[in-house]
Order: sequence, then structure tokens, then C-alpha cells
Amino acid sequence: MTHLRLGTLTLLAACAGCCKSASETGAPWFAEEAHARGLDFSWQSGHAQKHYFPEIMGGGVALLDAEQDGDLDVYLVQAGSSVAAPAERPPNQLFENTGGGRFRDASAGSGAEDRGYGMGVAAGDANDDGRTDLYVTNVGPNALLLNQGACTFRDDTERAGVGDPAWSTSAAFVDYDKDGDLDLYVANYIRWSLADEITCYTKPHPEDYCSPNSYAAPAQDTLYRNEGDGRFSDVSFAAGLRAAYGNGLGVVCADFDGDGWSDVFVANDGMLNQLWHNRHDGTFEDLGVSSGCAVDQDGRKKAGMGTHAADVDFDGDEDLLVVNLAGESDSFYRNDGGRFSDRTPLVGLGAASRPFTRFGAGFADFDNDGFLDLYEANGRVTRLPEDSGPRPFDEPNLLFRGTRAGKFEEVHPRGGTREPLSATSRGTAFGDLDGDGGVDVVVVNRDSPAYFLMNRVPERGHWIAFQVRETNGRDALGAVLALDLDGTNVRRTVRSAYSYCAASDPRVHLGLGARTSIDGGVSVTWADGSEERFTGPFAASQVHVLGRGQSVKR
Amino acid sequence: MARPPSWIVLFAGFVLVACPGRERREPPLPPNLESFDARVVERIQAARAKVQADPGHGGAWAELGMMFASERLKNLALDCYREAARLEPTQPKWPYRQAVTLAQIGETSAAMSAMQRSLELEDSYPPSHARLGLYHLELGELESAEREFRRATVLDSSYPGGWVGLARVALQRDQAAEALALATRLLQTDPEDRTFRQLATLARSQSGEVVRGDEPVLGADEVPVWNDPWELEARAFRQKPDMLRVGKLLQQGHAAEALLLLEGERARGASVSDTALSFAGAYQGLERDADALREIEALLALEPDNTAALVLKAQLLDDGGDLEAAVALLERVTTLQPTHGGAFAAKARKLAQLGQHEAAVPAFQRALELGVNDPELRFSLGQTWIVLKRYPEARPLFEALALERPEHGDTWLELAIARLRTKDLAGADQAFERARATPNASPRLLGDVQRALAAARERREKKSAEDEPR
Repeated sequence: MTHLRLGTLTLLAACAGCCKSASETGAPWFAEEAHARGLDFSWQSGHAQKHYFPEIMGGGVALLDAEQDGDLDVYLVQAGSSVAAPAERPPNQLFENTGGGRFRDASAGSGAEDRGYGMGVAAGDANDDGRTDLYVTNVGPNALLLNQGACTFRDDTERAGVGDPAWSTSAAFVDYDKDGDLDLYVANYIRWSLADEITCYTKPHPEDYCSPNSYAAPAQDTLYRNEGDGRFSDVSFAAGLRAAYGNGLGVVCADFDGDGWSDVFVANDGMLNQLWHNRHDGTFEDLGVSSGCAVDQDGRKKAGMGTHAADVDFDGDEDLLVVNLAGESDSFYRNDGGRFSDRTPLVGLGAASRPFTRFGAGFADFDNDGFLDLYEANGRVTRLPEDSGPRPFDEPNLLFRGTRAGKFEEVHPRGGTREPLSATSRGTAFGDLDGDGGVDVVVVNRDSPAYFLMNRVPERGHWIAFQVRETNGRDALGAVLALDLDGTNVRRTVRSAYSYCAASDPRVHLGLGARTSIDGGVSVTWADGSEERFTGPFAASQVHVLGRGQSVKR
Repeated sequence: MARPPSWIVLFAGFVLVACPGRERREPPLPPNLESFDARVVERIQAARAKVQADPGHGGAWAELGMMFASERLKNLALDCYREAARLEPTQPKWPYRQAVTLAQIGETSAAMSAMQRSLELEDSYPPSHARLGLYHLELGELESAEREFRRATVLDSSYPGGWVGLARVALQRDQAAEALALATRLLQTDPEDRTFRQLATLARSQSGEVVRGDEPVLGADEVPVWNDPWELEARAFRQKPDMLRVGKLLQQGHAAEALLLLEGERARGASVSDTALSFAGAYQGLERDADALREIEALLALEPDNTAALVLKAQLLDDGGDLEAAVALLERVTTLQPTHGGAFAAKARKLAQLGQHEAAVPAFQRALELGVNDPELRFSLGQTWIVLKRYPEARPLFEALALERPEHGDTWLELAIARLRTKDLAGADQAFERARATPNASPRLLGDVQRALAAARERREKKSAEDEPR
């Protein structure tokens, strides 16, 4: 089903007055307030003379409620010099939300100060204690930081056995085997070491960053199975992941074919994307090519970076977005029961995205009109040929408004801010950091301050949010929330890992337009396949907690 | 401020129209020229000199533009095309070039306007309609796209661009059967065309058929040209008749760029013998192994004993999973050319992979005798000796390698095994500690060696306990 249902149109018609003005009048949707709110961070690439490939690829960000006080804290992954010893590198930083989206640097003594050459981060409860832990991906061994409460963490990598030594990028916690605990999928980029670095020529410059294919060293991803006792086993081989190589950058997990099991999609840079179909027996099979999401509408493989999945067209399955290199449009794969068709031009992302190199990306209903909008964070990977100024990789970011026709229209001013912003943007996370009902954005920039984009959409619609929790209180990653809005089936997955090298707020945020409540019930399909229905009404402008077992079972 | 009298304005206008030379501009120069590759600077200066010698000639400006475009300097290229179009306003090729360049930098709407200007000057050039169709398609304007593609087919039914476009429109409309019919017809004209094959695969997939994953995948920057002389004219500027440049590009991993240069060389008549190996290398870089194999087969048909081709073919067979056939080919190479160190090295590795360790050892040794100075090769030989339990031979090799590359964790681990098996437990412990201090030792091997050491210690302790007088 590709057309929006009548109910959705009715809903939109009701809120047309409140929601359409922003993009049409050019009112900014965001205000960049990182410094003013205490979020001072710059991902340091460490670039000096020679071009070391990792310098152009990081870094990442996680939004998590580290101290379980109901608001989102921010964890930012740092790098420093790729040639320096870890002890000489600057540490990752944890910023505690002191309320209303204002932050203090809580890094010192937090135990979260990993000093690897940082790329990204995943967030999830690794040890089933109800607290959100962090898995930091590095160029070199990754780190698992267990949340000890009160903004403190403990490095448990060695005991847990998850220190993947490869160059890892995005990672995702996912219960792929339905045993009730969160396993861990780690995307690896290329097999690289300082000794392997090469010099690349990109017209017209004599030296520049290489493309991943220059190294001819694609990597294999890693799957760690959670053994339930705080330890993980590397089951990549047994699960079938060693059957394929890729230059993995983006990861998103979803039940793409509706069989009740989580699959894994990996966006590969310059290689075929992979769709690891879950075969229900602990193994996976790459169905990227046969399902239609490995290449674009012309059969070309692209340079996949960030990715996200969402049921954009309200047909009950999750569509896929992959953002790519400059010169290549985004890839919007419409999902029809596990078969994908590239419909990028039809959703309006064909031409608009092509001039930029996009990394971080995510759907969110920024204007709360009931339709998912889209934010893309950009920055070149090779120098701009005609300008060798001090920041030859910087680009503006892009913001698109989702329309009732199922299309995306670019919002102006470009990137959604009054003053144009330009940087080499990478990891990007989404969440309501000040608790005002608008989804905010945190963007990590290479060698320049991170953005904290506060949602300032004028006359936003009403909103509602659901925090879906397992019995121990952890976020129920992989659970699917479904509800009926005036005849339109809305379906959202509880998900933190998407975009690029980032972990976002796992709470399900919905724009309601003019509605002030959800009167019907809400269904939750938990990751193990069981279903629960929570009866309404649910009032707007609130975060509702849906705890497992806290409703009448069907 | 008082406005100038109208007669002055009129006169100024007359001067501008009558004396176009006064408007002539200097050809543009990149502001950051000093940061460019020296060869690029040379090309730019030569092309600019041509314009300076004849600044009123639109063709010279367009050539400078095509040169800039070939060096990714798209904005400078656009500047030149605009000047060419101004100087030669009836020439449709210049707005066509503007359109192509604008589309490449993502300015699709501007590209459409430029292509429409070109079509106003020359409506009967099918590629202009096909490209305009593509721009409409990219904007999701399916009806306009279809109109342009159809016009291209009417103008020249043998030009594939229009038919391919129509098939793409059909796919976007979920009309997979129609797309498949079009792709099938195209395949009848050229069964090997990769675009046609991909179209057919996509159409079959969309119609619900389970497709295999072995259809050729197009590189990101591959835009089929078919019969488009105006585009070929521009592509010629990308090409330098210089196979050394191709070699360098391949070495640097720029396979797609190398391929474009090679296609130009072929178009200018370069022989299969001169280019097949480079083509194969480029295709391999683009993971188009079937195309690479095709090139190699073409070369071997002409030169069956070409050892370089045989070695590359062996590599391709190996990549395709046919390790035994690869070894057989390498046997042939080492017979044909007993001084081919690389072939012995490759053969040795593959024999070891096949578990034929006894046979692998002499091949390793011959490769080393022939001067293949690769630490990885010696490492593999050492591993083979370990497998064969020839520890006394493995040990000095790993001792030397460990001195040579102390940062390599697995070398220390293999050394630990060799020392352990030659009754040097203390030395093995030392090597193990060195391995642990490196960041790159394989976790599995670390675990294996750790267990072996622990077992050895346990045995020793047990033995000494037994030996102690009660």
C-alpha cells in the first residue's frame, strides 16, 4: 500500500493551519544553542600533514538517560590523533542534562572517558540491569561501558568479550534471537592500520583522503550474542555474517519482512548494501540484492553512509533510507512486505540531496503534524576542487518536511536555522532534550563545535511520546508500537540505533497535529513476539510509560 | 544623483554591441592553482593559452570548459560554457554541456533550463531528450520524463537512451511487466549491455521474481553513453593517451577513472594486447570480476602463454571460489616461467589454503629464493612449518620476523608456539607477553597460545611434583 489513507488526510486537514506555515514562510525550525546550553564539544580529527583515512569519518553521539531522571543526557565520542598513543588522546565526554536541555560536563570521574580513536556509539542495556549502557566504536578495540547509575560507568569490555579490534563505525543493540536480552551488531568499515595508509590523488589535488575501495580491504561485521551472564560470544561466523564483506557505515535493525524477527540492514560505502535476513535459527542470510535494497534504481551501488527505517507510507512495514555521497542521490527504498523498490525520485529526494555528502540522517516529526520529516547532516570526504580554503570539507545540512502526499520538500532556510551553518557533519542523534515536545538534534562536527539544534518550529502540532519498557525497566528496543489514528495505522519501532555512528532517544515520539489525545488503545509487539494492548485514552503533551505486563493481555 | 542623458546610454549600448572585443574576458583561473597537481596545472595553462590566442572563438572556451570539467572544476567549466554560448549563440552543444555539468553538481532544475535551451536550437538530437527525461525523472516528474524519453525513441528508435528511460519510468510506476518487456527488447540488441541486464533484473525483482545476486552491478559513476557524440567529445578531455597514468590510477585505487581512460584508449584503437590487463585490473578494482575475466580470456585467446594474464586469471578464479583451478593455472605459469617469483608465492599460499602443506613448502621456498621479499610470505611459510610440526625450522624464521616487525602480534604468538615446541617455555612466555602488548594480536590465537602455555606449565609442574622425592 503506497497511498496514504483518508484518515491521515483528515488529520492533516485539521492541522493544516498549524503546521504548514513554517517551511512556506521560511521561518527557521531550529536554533543552534550548543554553547549557550553548555554543550561544548568538537570532534578532533587530529589531522596534521598526512591524510589518515579515519580523520574524515568520525565521530558519534548518544542521547541516553544516563542517570534515569527522565531527561536525555549526551555522550560524545572523541578521537584526537590517530598516530598518538591512547593515553595521549582526549577522552570521550558525558554531558549531564541538568534540566530543560541545559548541560554540564560530567565526564570527570564518570568512567565513560574512553580514549580510543572514536567513531560512534550504541546505547542499550547490555547487562539487563535496567540501565542504559554504552558501546563505543573505535578505530581499534571498542569499549563497553556499563552504566553504574548517577552518571557513572565502568569499562567491562574485557569481561564481556566485545572489544572488536577492527575499525568499527555504527553499532546496534538488538535481540536477534528472542531470548530476552540485547545482542550486539557491530558494523566494521575497512581493514586498516597506520601502516596500511596510502596516498590518494583526487583531481585536481595531489593528495587527499582516499575512498574505501582504494584500500581494497573491506571488512566483515561482528555479531555478539548476549549470553545473559554479562558475557557475549562472537557468533559472527556461526550466524553467517562471514559470508560477506562490506565497507559498513550505517546500521538499522527492523523486522523488514514482518515475520516477527529482527533483521539487520547495513549501508556499505561503495559496495552493495546488505540486508541480513534473520532465519530464526541464529543465522542470517544476505538478501540485499534479491530484496532490492543493495543497489539503486539503475542497478548502481552507491556510497552508503547513514541509514534509517520507518513506516513512512503507513502501509505497515518499514521503509528504508540510505544517504550517500555527493553526486549520488539518497536512496529511499519503499518496502512492500520485505521487497524493496527504489522510489527516491517519487518521494522528492532525487535531486535535492545530490550536491552533498550526507552522513547522519533520521526521520522525525519535527513539526508534529503527523508526518515524518527528515534531517541530513553533511560534509565532504574529499576536498572541494575549486576552493582549498581552511575548511574544504564543510557543507550545509539539509532539512526536509514530510508532506501529506508522502513526499519530502526541502525546508528553507537551508538546514532549518536562521543563520546558515556549515561544517563537516557526521554522527547525528535525535531526541527531545528539553522536554518541550519538539524533537531536537545533536550533530557532531569534525574539528568544529557540535550543533545542538533546538526545535523551534513555530506553531508545532500537539505531540505524545511513549516510553516502552521491558519488565526490568530497560527500553524495549525492537518492540513495535501500533495505533490507529482516524483509520490510519501508525506503526513505530522502539529504536535507538540508526543514522550514522549515533544512538538516539528510543522513546516513540508522535506528532498529533490538532489532536489532543489518542482515544483508542495502543498495541505493543514485544521483541519476543508477544503482544500487549494498552487501553487509552492517552493525553497529548506527555510521555506515557508502557511497561511490559502492565496491561490486560489479549 | 542625476541620471545620464539617454543618448549616452544608447551610445554605450552601441559600443558594446559593435565592439564585442571589449567585452572579451580573460579565461578563468582557479584561485588555488598552486595546490593542484603539476600535470593539471600544465593542462590548464595550455588550454587557457588557446583561449587567449583566440578569445572570440566559442569552441576554444568550450574546450577549456571541458578540460576544467574533466578535472572536477565544474564551476569554472560552467563559466566557460556560458562564455562559449554567448559567443556562439546558435551552437546547441554549449548549453548541452552546461546542462550535463549542472546535473552533475546536483543543480537539476538549472540543468533542465539549459537542456531546454539546447533543444530550442536543435530538437532532433535524441540524447538531449533522454537527458532531459532523466532530469524530470530525478524530480519525480514522470509524465514529462516519459514525454522526453518517447521523443528520443521517435527520433531514433535504435538509440537505447529513450527506451531505457521509458523502462525506468515504468519501474517508478510499478509497471514491472512493461519495464521487463522493454529491457528484454534492449537485451536482444546487446545481451552483454550491463545497463540492460540490470534493468531486466530490477524489473523481474519488482514483479516478485526471486533474482540471483550475480548480475553485474554498475559503478556509482558509470553513466552509459551509447550513441552520444557530443558527450564523447567531452569525455575525450578526460582521457590522456598515457597508459602510465592508467597504471598509476590503478595503483592508487581509482579504478573507475582508469576505466574511463582505458575506454578512450580502446575507442582510439588501442589493441587488446596493450590494454586487456589494465582493463582487467580496473574491472577487478570495481568488483566486476566477470568483465575482468572476459578481458583476460580475450587476451589469452591471442596470447595463450601470457603469464601475467594467467596469474590474473588464477586470482580471479580464486576470488570466485575455484581454488583448485587457480592452483592448476599457477602450476602452468611456474612451468612456463620458472623465475616468476610472484606465481610461486601465489601458488604456495593457495596450496596452503587447500591444506596441501607439504607441496606448499617448496613453492614458498622457491618464491623466497627468487627474491619475493614479503614478510607475510615468510610468515605464511612459518605457519605452514608449524602445521607440519617442523618447529625447528619455524623457530628461526619467526625469531627473525619478530625482530623485523616487533609490532606484529601474531608473529610473536607463532614464535611462542615455535619456542614452546622446541622446549623453551620461558622463551615462549616472553614471546606471548610481547604479543599481548601489541594491539593487533588475533584474540583467538592469543587464547590458543595462552591455553597451550598453561597446559605446558601444568605438565611441567605435575612432572616436577612427580619427580620430587616423597
